[in-house]
Amino acid sequence: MGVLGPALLAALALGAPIAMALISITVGFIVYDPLLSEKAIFRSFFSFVNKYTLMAIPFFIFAGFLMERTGLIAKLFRFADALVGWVPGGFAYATILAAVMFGAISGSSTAMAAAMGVVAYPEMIKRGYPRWMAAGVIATGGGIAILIPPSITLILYGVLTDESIVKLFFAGVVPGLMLAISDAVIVLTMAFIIKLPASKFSWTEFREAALDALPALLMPVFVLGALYGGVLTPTESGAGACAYALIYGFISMRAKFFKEMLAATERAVNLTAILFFLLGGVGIFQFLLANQGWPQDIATWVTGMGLSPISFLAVLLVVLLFLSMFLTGVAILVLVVPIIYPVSLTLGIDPIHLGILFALCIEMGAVIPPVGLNLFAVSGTTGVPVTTVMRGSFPFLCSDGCVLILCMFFPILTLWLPNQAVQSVFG
Amino acid sequence: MAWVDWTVDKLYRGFRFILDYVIGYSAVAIMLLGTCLAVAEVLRRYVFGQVFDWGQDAVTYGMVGSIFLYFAVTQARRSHLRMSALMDALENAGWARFVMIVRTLITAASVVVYSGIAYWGIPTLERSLMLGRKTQSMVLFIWPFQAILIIAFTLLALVCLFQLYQDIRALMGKKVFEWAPTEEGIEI
Repeated sequence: MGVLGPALLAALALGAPIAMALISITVGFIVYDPLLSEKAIFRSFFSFVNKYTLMAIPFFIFAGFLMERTGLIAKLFRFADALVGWVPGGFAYATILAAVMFGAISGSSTAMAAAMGVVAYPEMIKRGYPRWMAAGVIATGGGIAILIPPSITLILYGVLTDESIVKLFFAGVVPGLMLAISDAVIVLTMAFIIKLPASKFSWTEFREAALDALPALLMPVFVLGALYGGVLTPTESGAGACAYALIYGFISMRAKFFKEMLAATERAVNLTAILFFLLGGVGIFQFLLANQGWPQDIATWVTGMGLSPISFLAVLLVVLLFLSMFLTGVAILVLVVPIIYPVSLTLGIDPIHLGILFALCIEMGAVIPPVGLNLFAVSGTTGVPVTTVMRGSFPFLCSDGCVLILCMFFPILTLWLPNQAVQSVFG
Repeated sequence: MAWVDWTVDKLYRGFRFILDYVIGYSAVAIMLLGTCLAVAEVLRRYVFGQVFDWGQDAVTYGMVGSIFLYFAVTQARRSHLRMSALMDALENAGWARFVMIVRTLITAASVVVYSGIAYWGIPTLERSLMLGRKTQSMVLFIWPFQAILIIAFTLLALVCLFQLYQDIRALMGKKVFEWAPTEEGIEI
C-alpha cells in the first residue's frame, strides 16, 4: 500500500483514464510479484463484467434515452406545471416534480439536467425568474434522479457489493423524496423573498396535460411496479422499460422514431462502454486489493482508532464530498466502494444505508465545482455562466446537505421502506 | 515527414471508418437485438412459462461482446472517464507543454498495457478452446467472447498507437488528424 496507493493517486492526478490507471497499477504489481500470473489480469476483467445483473445498466440507460427522445420531458413539465404552477414559485416546483417523475424513468442525472435546461430554463426566464435561480433549480433537480429508482448509481453499487438492487431501489425512495421536499422548501423561501410569480390553475389544462403525460407516468408504475412486486428481476425490469419506451416511441412518433431510436441506441452503447471499461478496470483492481489485503488493513486501522460507526461515516462523507471536487460520481463509486465496503461491514454499518449515503454524496457532487457535471450541462444548454449556475445551486446544495446529515444520523430513513416492502413481498 | 503524416493519416482514416461505422453500428445492432431477445425472454417466461436455456447467456455475452468492441470507439473519441482538474489547471497556468508531455507518456503506457492484456489473454483463450469451456447455461462456448475481448484490447492498443503519433507530432509543433474528434461530452 505504501507505493501502490500514491502511484495510483499520481496516475489519476496526471489525467490517465481511471480504468487505465487501475489496470496499470495492477499490471505493475503483478509483473513485479513472481508468485502471480499475468493471465489473472485478463480473466479478472472478463469475469467481472459478464454478469446478467449488470445488463440492467444498459437497459435502463437505453430506456431513459429513448423516452427522452420522444419529447417526454416537455410533457412531464407541462403536467407538473399544470399541477403546481399556481403556487408562487410554481414553475420551480414543477421543475423539481418533473425531475422526480423523469428520475423514475431515467437513471442519468446529467442527461436529465441537460434536457431540463432546454425545456425549463426558457420558460422560467419568460415567467420572470432570475437567471441564477432558474439555472440552480435545474442543476440541482437533475441530481434527484440518482436517488429515485431506477438509479444507475445504485445498480452499480449493488453490483460492486453484491447487495440486493431491489432493496437499494426501495431505500432510495424516501431520501429522494426528502431531497425534493428540501429543494421545495428553498423555493418556497425564495418565493417569499424575491416575489416569484404564479400562474392560474386551469382544470382543463390540467386534464389535457395529464392525459398527454399519462404514458410517461404509467411507465414507472408498470415497470418498477413489477420489480417491486417481486415479479421481475432488475434486469428483466430494465428490458421491460426498453420495450415500453420502444412501443411508446413508435406509437407517438411513428416513422420519425426510427431515426431517434438509432441515435439513442448509439448514445446508450457509448455510455455503457465507458461504464463497463471502468468496471473491468475495477475487476482487475479488486484482484490487487484481495492480494494486498488493503480493505482488511484499513479495517484494522479504523477499528484500532476506536471510531464509532457515526464518526466513521462523518469522516467518509467529508472525504466523498471532497473527492467529488475532482472525480465524477461513478468514478468515486468504483474507486472507493471496494475499499470502504468491507471496513463498513466490520463496523456494523448497514450496507444498504451506506449505498444511499454514497448516492446522496454523488448527488451533491453533481453541483460541486470544479468537476460538477450538472453545472456544466446546465451552463452548456442555457448559456448561463458556470459561476451563475453555482450561485443558484448553492442554497439547494445546503438543503441537500441537511438531508445527507439526517440520513446519516437516522438510518431508519433509508432502511424502513426496504425492510417493510422487501420482507412483505419476498418473505 | 510530410509523406509519413499523409500515410498515417490515410491509415487512421481507414481504421476510424471501420471503428465508427462497421464496429460502431454492429454494436448498436447487437444492443438492439439483445434488448429484443431480453424482452422476448421476459414475455416467454411470464406468458408462456418457458425460456430458452441459452437466453440469459445470449443476452449477457452478446451485449457485453458488442460493448467490448465499442471500447475502442470511445477511446478514439478520448471519452473514457478521467480526472482532468489538475491537468486543466496546469494548462491554464501556462504549463501546456508539460501537460502535453504527460499526455503523451500516458498514451504510450496505454499502448503497452492494452497490448499486454491482449497478449496475456491468449493462453486463457487457448485453454477455453482446449477444454471446450461453456457459459453458465452450458450451451454457448465461452471462447468466442474471450476472443472478442482480446480483439477489443488489440483495437484499443491500435487506437492508442495512432493517438501516440498524434501526441508526439503535437509535441513537435505539428497538428495531425485534425478531422478526428478529440473529446466528447460524458453523460452519467
